[in-house]
Order: sequence, then structure tokens, then C-alpha cells
Amino acid sequence: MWELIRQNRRKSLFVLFLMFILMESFSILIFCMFDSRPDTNPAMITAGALFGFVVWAVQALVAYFFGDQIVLNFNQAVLVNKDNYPRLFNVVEEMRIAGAQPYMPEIYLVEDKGLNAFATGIRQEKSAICVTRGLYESLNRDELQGVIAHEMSHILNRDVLFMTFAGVMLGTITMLSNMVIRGGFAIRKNNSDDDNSGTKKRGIGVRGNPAIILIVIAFAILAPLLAKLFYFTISRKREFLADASAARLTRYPEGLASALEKISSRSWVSFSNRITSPMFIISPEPAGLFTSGFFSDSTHPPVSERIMILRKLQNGGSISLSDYRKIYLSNVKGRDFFPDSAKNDTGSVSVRAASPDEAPAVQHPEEHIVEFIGDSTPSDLFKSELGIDPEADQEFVYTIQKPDDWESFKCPACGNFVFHLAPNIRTRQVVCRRCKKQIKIEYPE
Amino acid sequence: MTIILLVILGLIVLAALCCFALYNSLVGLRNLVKNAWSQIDVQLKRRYDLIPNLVETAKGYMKHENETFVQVTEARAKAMAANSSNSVGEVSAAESQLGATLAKMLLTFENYPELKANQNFLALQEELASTENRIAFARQAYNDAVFGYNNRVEMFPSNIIAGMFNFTKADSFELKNEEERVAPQVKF
Repeated sequence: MWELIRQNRRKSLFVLFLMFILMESFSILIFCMFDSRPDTNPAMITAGALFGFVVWAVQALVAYFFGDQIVLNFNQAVLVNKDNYPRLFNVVEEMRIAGAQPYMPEIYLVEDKGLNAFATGIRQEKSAICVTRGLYESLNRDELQGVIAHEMSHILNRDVLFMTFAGVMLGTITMLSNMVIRGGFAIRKNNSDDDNSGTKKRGIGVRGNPAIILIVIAFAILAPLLAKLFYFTISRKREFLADASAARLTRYPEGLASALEKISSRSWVSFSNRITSPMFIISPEPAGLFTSGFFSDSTHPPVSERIMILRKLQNGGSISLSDYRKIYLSNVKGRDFFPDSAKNDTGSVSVRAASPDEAPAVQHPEEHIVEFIGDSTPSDLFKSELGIDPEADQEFVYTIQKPDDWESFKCPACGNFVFHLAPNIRTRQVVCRRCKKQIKIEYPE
Repeated sequence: MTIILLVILGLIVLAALCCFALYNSLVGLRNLVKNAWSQIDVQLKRRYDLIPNLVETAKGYMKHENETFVQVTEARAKAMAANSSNSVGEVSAAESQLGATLAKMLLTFENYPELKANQNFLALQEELASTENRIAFARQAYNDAVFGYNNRVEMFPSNIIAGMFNFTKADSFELKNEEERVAPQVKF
């Protein structure tokens, strides 16, 4: 079955191909802009096509050969083996066996209080699974298994390869667009300088057809947006598929569902980037404006949707990929993107019993609880009654930089906003700056 | 005339190519099954190696549970004997037996708090818990592989090739009792 999924990549390949066409035509158009006879000069077209391709290929090759090493550059990543973290090692090995994957991925534990995990490794034989200490310590065995199974599915389905190449393409298109926009300003500035001096000398000026210049400008504005839409579409599909595969691998969707619930409000980590972010179990970036649908600008589907599907799967009893697909289609307004191998996976696959090991690896008595407590923005008067001190907002920094021992939480109501909390603060009621809802952060007594 | 001959020749070549492809995919699937079986075997051996260690460690704390230990040791010996026979049915029967006695032994550990404070024992227990999971997951992967392979052996048109070259259906690894589907209750 896993073999089939790996082979069934046509749909993703098609979107990848569209992105490629977008990138190439953009690059060609930019080159044509510098030529007076763009439609008759094949040299410029070839040069444009080559330029776009080379820029993409160089980045892709770097990602292919050195991408594995990103993990090693993380702050204090510990290589996990049988002796230092036997439980984590065992859970990964169990999932490797369940997926009949011949290569054991390397496992890293990253010192970060955020709850998250991700997979790297464009080549399967050099893959790695990375887990934060926060995640490892707060999940029980079934939950950890669900998370690891999700990451193992990304490796089995070759998602890392796809998303890295797509990410690099997105990067190239964004770069071309920046080039045009900044270059455009530079040319305008040059031209106005020329006018002042009264001479008419132009270096590599824009000599092309005005229509082409207009198209290039339109591309510069629209291409990155379109590329992002393509990119996010592939990424979200692959998240659903990885969830479906994880449920089938573990035979226990509830494990992943409850892990997602725990992770969702504390998934912020300090070490994600554009290339790696689709590989996380829950996007470490704050959610965008639209969380679902075609125009969504998020790499991940809404967590609530993912949890809902997994729970229904658990209650339904049968957890084959076709069961997941049915629940997805009847509950989520989305296109049917499941590969044929998933549709044909109809055998009855039943849910197993929960594992009796209920406790997380390490009990954290001092862990914060983040909850959403109210809909409306309290008035200033009401704020003081609630104990919300407007001045106390200083304790929450909003930049990417935060001291190591500060904890980070996502707003549980909108998922849009990250709070950073100083370690000495025990209980605080705050208002999310994005959705204006009231959030309570407190230590359990 | 030559055109008709060429068309016939082309059809024959096409049919032969289809046969090759079907044959190769059958061989591939059968190898997947074999490989999945050897994965189970690795994990079963791991369990055989682990049991004496666990029994040795536990014995010091549990003087009155000799019968349980004897049962486990016997079940292990039987399972090892069945394992060398290489018949899926026999192995799964003997392993079910061993799994049941192990589960019983793990339950008796619950009555010995000093034992559960022993670091060495805890490490062994984690290993055993994981080994039980590994066996379950390896069995799951094996049964998936068998399902795929058997489908091909039975379905048209690959069943013709399967019949010609003697591809027989593989047995899936089933546990005898319903309740054994649940992994032994290991409490930490």
C-alpha cells in the first residue's frame, strides 16, 4: 500500500509543473523586457528560460545535498539513540516497522519548550525526525506514536522532496519579483537622473514592447501570490494524507487527535523557516488570514478540522485510507485529492485498543494552561476588573527574538498570534491582539 | 500481407511484455511478503532474547512466583522450536501462547513495588513493551503485504501468470484469541 502511495504523485507533480511554468514564463518575460524585438529573438527567450532554471536548480541542488544538515545547525539538537531516550527511539523504530520502511531515520531532540515535530531528508536513506523537548515531555506514548507516524508518513510519501522543491520554486519566483520591483525603481531613478543632465545615454535600459513591460509588472505582483497558493495547496493536501496514513499505521487515530490538541496552542518554535515549515506536524508559523479553502495562505489545514476527522475515524471503527477519504469528503468542503491507492484501500482495518501507558514522559507540574475565555473585547473599565493591566503588555514581546527561558503560546481562539511569556508570570489574562478575544494563561494549582 | 504479419508479431510482443510485467510485479509482491515475514522474525527473536533477562531480574524480587516463570520459559522454548519450523500457522499458534503467558507475568509484576523501582527492570520493561508493539506492527505490515500479494494471485489477469509459475497464496499471521489483540498490560 505504501509503495502505491509513493508512486501516485501525479496530481502533486501537476501542480509542481504549473509552478515551474509560472517561474519559467516569468523569467523569460523579464529577459524579453530588455529586447526591442522580443517575439522574434529566440536568444533572449532561451536566456530567460535558462536563467530561471539555473537559479532554481542551484538552490534545489543545495537543498538536496545539504538540506539534511539544517537539523544539525539547530540550537542544541541531541542525536537520540537507544540509550539516551529509549522510549522515543523505540516509538520511531515501531513506526518504521509499521511502514515497512527499510531505513531508520535519525532522531533529534531539540531544546525548545514549544510543542512540535518535523521530518527532513529528501533522500529516504538520509531522513531525520526532529522532536522538541516540549513535545517529548508532554505527550504519552500513544500521542507520541501518532506524531511520529505522521512524520514517518511524510517520509514514506516523499513529501519532503516535493515540498523542498516547491519551496525553492516559490523562493525563486519571489526573488524574480523582488528583482523586477526593485530594479524598476532603480531604472526610473536612473532615467530621471538622465533627464536632469540633459543627455540621452542609457546603459542596459528597458527597450522592450510596453505591453511586455506591463505584463512583467503584473507578473511581479501576481506570480508570488499564485505560487504561494499552489504551494499551500500541495502542502495542505499532504498534511491530510499524512494524517490518514498515520491513523492507518498506528491503528489508533485518537492518539494523533489528542496530540494535535495538546500541540495546537503551543506549537510556536524558534527554528522554523519557509522550507521546513510544511514538514511540521502543526505549522509553527501563526495562521494566516484564511485558514481553509483555495485562498488559504496556510501550509496546514485548520487543526480543528484535522482533529474532527481523526475523532470520527476513531469512532467509526474502521480506519483504512478510504474511510478517511469518506469522512473528509462528507465533512470538509474540499476537493477530492486522494490518490487512487487511497480510494482502493478498502480492506477493513480496525482500531486497536489504547495503550495502557497513559502518563507523559515527564510530568510538568509547572506547565501553563492556555484557554480562551471570552468573545468580546472588554472595555478598559472591565479590563481593570479582570486584572488586565494594559501596562503589563510589556511582559509579552511580539518579536521573533525572545529570551530562551520564555515560553510561547499561540492564541487558542484564532491561532494567529503568538504570546511570549516571562518565566516568573504565573497567571495572566490577556487580549489577543489579532482577534481581540480574551485569553487566560495560568498555572494549574 | 507483410503488414498483417507485422501486426500479429506486434501483438505477440505486446502480450509477452504484459506477461513479463505481471510476472515481475508478482515476484516483487512476493518478495515484499518474504521481507515482511523476516521483519516479524527479527522481532520474535528479540523477544526470545529479552525474556531470560527479564526473568532473571524479576526472580530476585519474586520468590513465590516460580510457576509463572516456568510457564514463560516453557512457552518461550516452544515458540523457538516452532519458529525453526517456518510454518506461519505453527509460529502464530506458539507465539499467541507465549504472548498470553507473558501478559500474565507482567500482571504479577504489579504486586511488587520494589521491583518497579529497579532501574534495570524498568529499562527491560520498556524494551519488552516496545518489542510487543514491534511484533504487532510487523505483523500488521506483513498482513498488509499478504493482502496485496494474495489479491494479485487471485485476480484476473495476474492469476493466469500466478497459476503458470506456481505463485501460491500466502498465509496471514493471525492471533488465536480475540483478547490477545490487545498488547499485554504494561504499566509504568
